Amino acid sequence: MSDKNHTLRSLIRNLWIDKSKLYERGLEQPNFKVALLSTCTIDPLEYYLGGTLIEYGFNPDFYKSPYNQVIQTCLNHKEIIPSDTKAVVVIWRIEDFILEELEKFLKKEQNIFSDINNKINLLIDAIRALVESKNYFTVVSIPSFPQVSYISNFDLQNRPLLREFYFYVTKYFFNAVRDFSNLTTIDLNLIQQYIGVENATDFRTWYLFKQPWSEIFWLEIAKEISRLLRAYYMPTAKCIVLDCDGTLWGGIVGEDSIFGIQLSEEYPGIIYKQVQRYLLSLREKGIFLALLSKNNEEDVWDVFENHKDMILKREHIATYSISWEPKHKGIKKIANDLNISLNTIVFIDDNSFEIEEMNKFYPDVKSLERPKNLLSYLDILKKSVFFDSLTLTEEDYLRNNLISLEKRRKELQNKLTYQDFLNTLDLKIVVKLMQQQHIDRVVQLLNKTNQFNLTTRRYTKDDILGLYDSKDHLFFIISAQDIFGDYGIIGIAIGVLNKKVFILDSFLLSCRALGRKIETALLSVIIKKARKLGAKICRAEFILTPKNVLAKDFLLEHGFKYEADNFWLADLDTLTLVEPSHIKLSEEDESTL
Amino acid sequence: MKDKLVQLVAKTLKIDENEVSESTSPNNTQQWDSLTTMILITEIEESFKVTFSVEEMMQLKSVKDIRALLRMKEVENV
Repeated sequence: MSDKNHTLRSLIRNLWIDKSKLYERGLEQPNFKVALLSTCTIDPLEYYLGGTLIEYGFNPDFYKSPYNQVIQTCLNHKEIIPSDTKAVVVIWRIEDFILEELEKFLKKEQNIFSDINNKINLLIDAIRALVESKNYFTVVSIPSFPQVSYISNFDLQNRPLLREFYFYVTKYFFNAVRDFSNLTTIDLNLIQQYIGVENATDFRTWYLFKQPWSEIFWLEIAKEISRLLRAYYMPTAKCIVLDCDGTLWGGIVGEDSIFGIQLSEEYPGIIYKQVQRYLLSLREKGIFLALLSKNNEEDVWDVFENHKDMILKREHIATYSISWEPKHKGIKKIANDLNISLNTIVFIDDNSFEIEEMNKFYPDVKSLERPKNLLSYLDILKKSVFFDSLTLTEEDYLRNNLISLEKRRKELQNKLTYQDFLNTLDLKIVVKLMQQQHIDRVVQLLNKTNQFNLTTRRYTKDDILGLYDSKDHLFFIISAQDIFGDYGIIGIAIGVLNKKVFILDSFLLSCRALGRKIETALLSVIIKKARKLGAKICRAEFILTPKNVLAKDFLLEHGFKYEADNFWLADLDTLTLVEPSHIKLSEEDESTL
Repeated sequence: MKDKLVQLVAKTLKIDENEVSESTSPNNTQQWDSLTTMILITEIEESFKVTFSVEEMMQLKSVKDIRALLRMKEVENV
């Protein structure tokens, strides 16, 4: 395994170094003391565990027991371990603790099992004394497979014996400690298998400092321990709030229809199916599922009730908010419905914009963005620490709810408005008149867009070519980019001037671009152009369909008055449109209009 | 702005950069003990993307030694 993680490791160590400087200067106080006990030198663990715990919001500090004094420290923990310690980590190795018995075992000495049992019982009894005090939560290692270089009489013939010894010892130990209360285990062998024995070992530091393991191994050990501590001491997820399009299935139901979305036994639909299965398994563990989607409600329930590949059914959904409102409003409703606090909610969405909005408004909500690479979608959910849970009592939970105050303070500081959020997007739009090279995209948008579409009028490519050649129709195309990326052409409007009346034949925006007031900017460009051409009135049409409720009030909200038969009028002498201040309209292109 | 090596030594030993000179060593710096030696080696290896042999690790007895060894390993700008 090539080791490209040195930057990450350095970042994590620096988190700890910087934090300990803050403690020294009295600028911050530690609130989470961890005692480290081990049979070998484990000082690097302090750095990585420090850094990873800080990432989870703890202010850790450490007590380190003297070298190779695990048993003594456990038995005399009341005198030795500081009384404000919250957690104890015990790391032991077969090579340090039970090497003599191993060597005898490999030599097939008689009656060795009672020696082995006695030795392990020493450790088990010491750990029992520690946990029975109920003072701390304890994480104890299941040792990794021994490094054969430490064993003097290891040869080809006794290899299977080493394996037998390893399994005997770890099974004996694990069976004894697994039911101890306030204790959990960390399987170092699983981590060692994952990174490889070669990568886990550092003989240089072993011979100089009695420190056996590589930085790579230490980081992985620390990550797992801090995950366990987080799961024990921090609130775990009570509710998963799910976007629908692009999150529960591929595609957009409002545009592609129930038949066009990706959800099947084939790639990519199968990924969404697997994700749904995993979500259902989390629901079975007692986590609520809720929907938060910008959609027409009927479209979403249509999928839940009628799509044969849906694993999640309507009855699995505890509550929902399906509307065109900004999502931070919907999540408040969901939290209220379920009577849970925001810091127990995980929000999953495929859209960076929605994730960013949620992070800005409610940093307490754990927002997970569906990865662009679908193959890692399930993996990211499964590795997410938010779903980690250790069995714990309500009492433990209350006692240990350490950081909620700190987080709440942060949230209060963050009272920002939706407009503040839009201002951070650095949104730039360009409105142009259509050229030959845009026609394919224009035809595609005209025929695909259902939701923000005033007339849902469909045109073939030949229709468009005909209108384009006749020169009397104006085709506006709008493209946009913001801090999340370049969206390309995301909206179309078609207009035609008839004497002094500018008739808006089509006006649509892809749903990817909604929620940013781009539609207002597009309309204001069109109105300016109409005035330039001498129009006195703009006449627009809104035809209601089952899909475009979203656009229903658009004309009314922009100063149009209802005429009759779906037509709306605006008097261009008096119409004033407030151009959205957060949108930068490209100047050069404006002049070509 | 002190150089990268001085910064690393100061950060790892948790002392002021101005207290670090070429002659800084375990003999004249209380914070430079066997634990911080181990951590310092990690910091240097990972920051300068070098790997020391066990013999080289044993030679790292002052800032001057470390600098000389990094130069020998053709690390630039040390």
